[in-house]
Amino acid sequence: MELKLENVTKRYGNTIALDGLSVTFHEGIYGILGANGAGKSTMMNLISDNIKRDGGSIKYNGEDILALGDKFRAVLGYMPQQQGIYERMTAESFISYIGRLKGLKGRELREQVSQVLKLTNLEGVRHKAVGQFSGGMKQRALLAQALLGDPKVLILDEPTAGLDPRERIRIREFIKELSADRIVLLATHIVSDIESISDYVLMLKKGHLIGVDTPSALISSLPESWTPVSGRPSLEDVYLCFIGDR
Amino acid sequence: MMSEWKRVFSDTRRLILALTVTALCAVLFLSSLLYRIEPGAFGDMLAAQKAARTIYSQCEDKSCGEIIALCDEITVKISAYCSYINGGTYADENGTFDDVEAYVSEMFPRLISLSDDAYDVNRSGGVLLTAVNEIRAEAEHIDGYGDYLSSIEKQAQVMSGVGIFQGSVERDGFTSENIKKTADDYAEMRDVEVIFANGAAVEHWISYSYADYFFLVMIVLIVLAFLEDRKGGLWHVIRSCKNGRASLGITRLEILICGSLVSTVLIYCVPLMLSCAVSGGIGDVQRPIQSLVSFRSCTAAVSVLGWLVRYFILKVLSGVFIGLLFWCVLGTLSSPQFSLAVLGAVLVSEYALYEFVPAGNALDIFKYLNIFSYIRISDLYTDYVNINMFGQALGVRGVMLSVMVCAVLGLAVFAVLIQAKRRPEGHRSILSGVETMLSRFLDVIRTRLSLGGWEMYKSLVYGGGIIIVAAVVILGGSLDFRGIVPVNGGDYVYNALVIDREGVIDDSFDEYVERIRESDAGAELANVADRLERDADAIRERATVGGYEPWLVYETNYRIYFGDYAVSVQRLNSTAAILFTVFLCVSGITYEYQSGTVYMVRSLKRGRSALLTRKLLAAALFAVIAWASVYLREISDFIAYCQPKTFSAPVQNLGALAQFPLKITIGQYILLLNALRLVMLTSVSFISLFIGSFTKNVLGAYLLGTAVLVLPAVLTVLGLDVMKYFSLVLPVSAAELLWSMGGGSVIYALPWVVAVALGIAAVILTRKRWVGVRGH
Repeated sequence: MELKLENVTKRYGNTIALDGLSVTFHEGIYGILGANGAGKSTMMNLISDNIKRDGGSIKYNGEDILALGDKFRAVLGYMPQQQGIYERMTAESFISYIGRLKGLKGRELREQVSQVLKLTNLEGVRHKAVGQFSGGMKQRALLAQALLGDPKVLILDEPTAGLDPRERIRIREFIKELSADRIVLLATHIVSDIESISDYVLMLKKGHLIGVDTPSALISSLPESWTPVSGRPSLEDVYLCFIGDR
Repeated sequence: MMSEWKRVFSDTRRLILALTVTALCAVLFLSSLLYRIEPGAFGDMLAAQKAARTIYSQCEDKSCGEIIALCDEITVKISAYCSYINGGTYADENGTFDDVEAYVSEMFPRLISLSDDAYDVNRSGGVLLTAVNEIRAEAEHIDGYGDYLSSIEKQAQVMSGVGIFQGSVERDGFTSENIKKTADDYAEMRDVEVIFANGAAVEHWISYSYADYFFLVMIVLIVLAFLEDRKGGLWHVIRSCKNGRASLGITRLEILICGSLVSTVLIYCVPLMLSCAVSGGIGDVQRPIQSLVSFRSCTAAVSVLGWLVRYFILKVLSGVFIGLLFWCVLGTLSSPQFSLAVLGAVLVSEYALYEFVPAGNALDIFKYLNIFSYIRISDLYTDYVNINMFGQALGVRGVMLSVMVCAVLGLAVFAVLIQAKRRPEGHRSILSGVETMLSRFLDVIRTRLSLGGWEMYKSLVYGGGIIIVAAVVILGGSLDFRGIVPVNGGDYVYNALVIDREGVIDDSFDEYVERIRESDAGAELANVADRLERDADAIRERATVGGYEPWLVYETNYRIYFGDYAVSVQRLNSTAAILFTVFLCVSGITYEYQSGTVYMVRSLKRGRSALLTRKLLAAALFAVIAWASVYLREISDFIAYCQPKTFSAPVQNLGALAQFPLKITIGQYILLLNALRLVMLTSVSFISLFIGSFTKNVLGAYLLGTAVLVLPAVLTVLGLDVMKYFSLVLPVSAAELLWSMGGGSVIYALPWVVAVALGIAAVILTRKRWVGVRGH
């Protein structure tokens, strides 16, 4: 399984959001690091075909995702950054509706709905309106919908934002389990999440890919003169050193 | 606490809504004075009211009998004039036609100015006759008021003396109490001296019942403002502030009182002032309220002015009462969504009790101690009712007012207590348990919905479509389907014979004509028979040339429903159908934008083409609902009114459709007409969906849809004829275009082609926006 971005460019007016980005993803978790406006969400929106690219190609197993159309979307699970949700639906209705849009039906749909509600710890509030959920609960509902239909490519934009530490760790571990046979793209500002579960880390800065490697390799690439912020070198130091302006 | 006053009264959205409701209330009031919404109707209404003022001034020193005679004389003259303009003959029992024309010219100059067009004369004459009838009814009422009181007294005596009631005195205390109380109450009215004066302003105003519903909307707006902090999650913050509890509750109570006062002024005083301006004042304000026809049954000894003051005070109080009731119900619920559902359920059940429980029933206490009875508080003075309170007959007015005063005091204390004591979290709520149970039940259904089912469910339940459907069905019921029926006294016999003999023109027709000739009814009927024969011969000739079967058809019915007499009514109904379709369909895509789910939904396998197809299907289904609510009613009204026997006749038998390009029957013509309307409304639904995709919130979608599709139609109806080229009113109405094709030209089909093309373009562009990749 391969998802390949070649020379992908996206402009918003005069601003270049992504500038000739080329990267290939295989099974595993790819953590995406970058400051606000670095192009993380733009990259995810391009892969989910929600915005139009200005140049380059995105290929899944050798075929352009635009040509694949709904065949590509059938293997895609996408959790957007904004908490856009149908507030008047209950958790169960919301997940069922998304399941329908993923082409699931009947018993399979109901089983998968129950399964993802259980995985995201929403089973106890499945009949409550999503609009009454806290921020963290909404986040879990959005994650639950992304997991429906056993997606091969999972795009998670800030999946652990707003979750309490215990819930964050639980979700993190769950994502780790999922990564065995699928591509997981994970964008977050919580660097420790990426450090603990990512197989690879992509570093984006002002629309450019400035590095891609394993977390440990990136940490060891820190200059000797660098003073770690918390005693020992970590991915946070990599972020501050290469992406931040310290 | 000034900040709370400022927050509630200076919120832009709330102010716009309040002003819109006020403007709508005033406009609907003025339109309720019109005979029909079409160009010239406002002028008719003003002219009729001016004429009524003149008649009132002529009646000042006259007795009621003289006033009635005067009204009758005016009615005869107006009818004679209209009939003559319509081609009828003038029977000169009351002088020559020149005399009538001179009289009309002096009293009703507008009728003379419209005399070039029989349709306008019919419409304007009808409005005048209505105004004259109202004056006559008032004179009759004044004349008969004393007899009315005596008849009630006699009735009470008779009923007390009749065996069945004597028997029931022992069995049913209420019956005898009711008879006795009614007689006593009306006996007190014996000294009331009713006076004839211009009562039109108050009569028109009091019969405008929509004002009560606008008032309810205003009160709900105020109460919802109190609950905004819950939706915004500010409840915790406000409760933790120094003045965030009882003190805030008292301030909100003051705001509610003030809001009710302002709403009363806006919703009731504005239409009253408009009514006075149109009708020429309110008449002698010191005369007893019983002088007005609507207050015949009123047993309160009060003058018109006294009643108005009393009414406004009660209206403010009832606003406070209803507001407190809503505030207390909604204030005890934590979930904003569920609160609104409860509000809806309370209103629906209260309305059902108000509307369907009959007066005098054992359950009528629920009818009178009901939100809608308190909203329609004028009924307390126009209707005389005693209710059964443990066998005692009590005047409903006294009971309702006492309950209202006590309830206002109790609810005010309760509302302040809720504000002071109710915590945002940590309390058990019975209703939240109900909410969960309901959700659990609905989830069983929802999880089994297909994608199309989901789209309908989202539109109807989450998008509030079910309320719009209900409104569409209710409002559709108030539409008129007939154009102005011509006043044509001279043709009465001829028309009666045509209606009697509608059918194929064959040998039996000739026998029918012969029978008329041979009857003893005289020369006039023989002349009519000759005319019938001539007309039949002309139809036979046309049919031979055209190659179809000749039928005698009473064409006027088709003209007043689908033809030249129905142009205005067709345009108005078409506008209503467009409005209904726009409101049902325009938010179909906007809902996704408003909830911020577009990216998520579009990234799903069936989130593009498949979803859009379901949205289009749902829109088409809503177009069918809009069509049915207007045009299915038209068909039903047509069949009930005309009882047509000529559906099988070739359509070319109608004179106006003699050259119609398709060889079809009248029944098929009506089917074609409605099929065209359905297709056009489907086009409107697709265009609405497309327009809605340009906005990010549902309110914006309604406004944009109204501006683009409804406003041009409304302007066309109001007489700005050029707008018919920029609106879909003619293609949707279809009747006007199809009737015009009766001359043989197919050019009139062009607007349908354009409308279908617009619908197809809307589908393509919507698809491009939704399915295609969009930059942002």
